[in-house]
Amino acid sequence: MTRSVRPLPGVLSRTSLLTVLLAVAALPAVVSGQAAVPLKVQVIYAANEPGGVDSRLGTLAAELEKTFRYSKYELLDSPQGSAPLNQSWRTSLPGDRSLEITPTAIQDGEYTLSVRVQASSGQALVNTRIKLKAGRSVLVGGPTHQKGVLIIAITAG
Amino acid sequence: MHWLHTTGRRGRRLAAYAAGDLSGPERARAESALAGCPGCRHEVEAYRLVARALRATPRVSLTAAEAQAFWPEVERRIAAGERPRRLPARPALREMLWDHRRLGLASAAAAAVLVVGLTLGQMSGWLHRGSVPSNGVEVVSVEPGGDAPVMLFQAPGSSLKVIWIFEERPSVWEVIR
Repeated sequence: MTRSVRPLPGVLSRTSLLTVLLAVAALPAVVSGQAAVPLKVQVIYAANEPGGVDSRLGTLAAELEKTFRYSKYELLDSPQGSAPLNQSWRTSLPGDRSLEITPTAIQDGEYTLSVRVQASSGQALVNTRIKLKAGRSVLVGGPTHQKGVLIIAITAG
Repeated sequence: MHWLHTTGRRGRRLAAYAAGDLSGPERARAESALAGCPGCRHEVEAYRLVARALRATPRVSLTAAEAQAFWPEVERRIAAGERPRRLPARPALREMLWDHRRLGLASAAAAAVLVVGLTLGQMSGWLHRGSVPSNGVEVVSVEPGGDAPVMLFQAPGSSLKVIWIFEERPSVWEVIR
């Protein structure tokens, strides 16, 4: 039996080809886990001294006041960046400290991050692994700064 | 001197062994070392006991007044440099378990746990149970660096989870009675 094959119209085949090419071009990034995770950090100075709450902290201010009893919360820095899976993003913290965040997984809108805070000596103050839903924050606090402490809010997505 | 005592991070290895986190050769090596170290076996039992106790411990409820007084009191003690007695910066977990008064600071927060080289994997049930919402944040593990103790807590009424590092301050053990 002979089967006849009807050729596709030219426009359709060109569109299909383009779609396939685009999909193939995007495939390596997906396969190798190169999706970049947006990261936002807020470095906050908290102390019992005059100064009140920094209005730039937005909704975080209310949560900080529920959690701690400092009289002053000042936003010192708000570095932002992104990191592909299993690659580290690093930012400096006051006192020659540093913060290193490595996204290790993304699943169902939830980011798994490895977070490391290093002292000026290079020694890790803490290593932690957290899972964050997009837009949610976790706080790492306690490192001393001036007359108070640093509180670092980490948000992914 | 056997492997557990020569590799450093002895406590962490024992905690990892107790939590079932060691696998393959490392686990076999730990078992071999434990066979010749009654003290280590005792410590492993303590780690297991702590994990079980933490899972079984009900959350502590605070009144609004108690919650409000918590941090100021901690800070007052730190500022006052209170040194009621010298204690090791990183006591064995059995000390935490068997002397509950030292857990005053941790138990004062609704969902707090002091982390001393112990992974939280085994405690997740305790940490995320009860009335404190998970709020899309899960702390899978916390490993303190050096001798700085770390506390994980979530204050009553707040949706924020906090990992608190006691860095270069008077030891947390000195402000806990």
